[in-house]
Amino acid sequence: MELQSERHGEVLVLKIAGERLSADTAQRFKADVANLLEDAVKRVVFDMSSVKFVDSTGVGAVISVLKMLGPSGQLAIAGLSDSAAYVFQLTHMYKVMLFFTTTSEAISALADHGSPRRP
Amino acid sequence: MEAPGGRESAAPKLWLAIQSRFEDVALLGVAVERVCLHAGMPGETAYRVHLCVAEAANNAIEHSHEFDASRQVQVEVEIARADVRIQVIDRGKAMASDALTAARRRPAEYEDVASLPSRGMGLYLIQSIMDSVEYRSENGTNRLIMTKTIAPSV
Repeated sequence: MELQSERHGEVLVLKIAGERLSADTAQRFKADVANLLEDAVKRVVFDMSSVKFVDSTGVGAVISVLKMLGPSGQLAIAGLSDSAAYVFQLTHMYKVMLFFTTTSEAISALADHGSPRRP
Repeated sequence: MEAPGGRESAAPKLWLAIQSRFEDVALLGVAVERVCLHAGMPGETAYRVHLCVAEAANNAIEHSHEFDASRQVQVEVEIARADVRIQVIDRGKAMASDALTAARRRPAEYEDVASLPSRGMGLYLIQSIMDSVEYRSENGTNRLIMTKTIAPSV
């Protein structure tokens, strides 16, 4: 799994280039995100349009990133398929993360502190 | 590989095995998902069964076999007329007797980031998705037995 980063003002977009965010990829994912995060970054969008499968360890890895951002951090997930979004739905992550259909919607919302879409 | 299930039945059965490595778990999940589709299960349901198999195998690798790759995680899939019965089998440390019950008690909602768990959600997901979940530990063999109805849920 690789991460491609792009900065849009105060929003950091990280595209996950891999099909699985799961127990076999989660450790590297967390380490790679930690390397890409700068102290000033508090708003992150994960472009998960390539991700087809997420397990609970994958959800846990995303939670770890949210905690890295600190109390004022905001995290959005964009482009996740309905199948892969189900695990976020079951674990009630819509309470603490934002979900959007497209990356551009997520960037706009984080820039404007917009409202989330439930997975 | 010796058939590990032990239950005589006319229903078709499939046996799979991997080494105890996270990177091999996808093989089990994808294979079981395809078998569920072949049995007539709707795609979304088969995907969720894939998720449950992956969660159970991950638990076996980490908590039971403690990442000893020389040990096998085995899966038995039995296709009955109305449901698919899946056993995820390991031969390591058994789960605590109250682990399934405890995993059902996960809080329904999280209100703040600090209270979020980043681990230990697998059994909760399995019990949320599957129709029945049972755990047996006998003579050094541990089985997580899960069933899912084939027909679309109404």
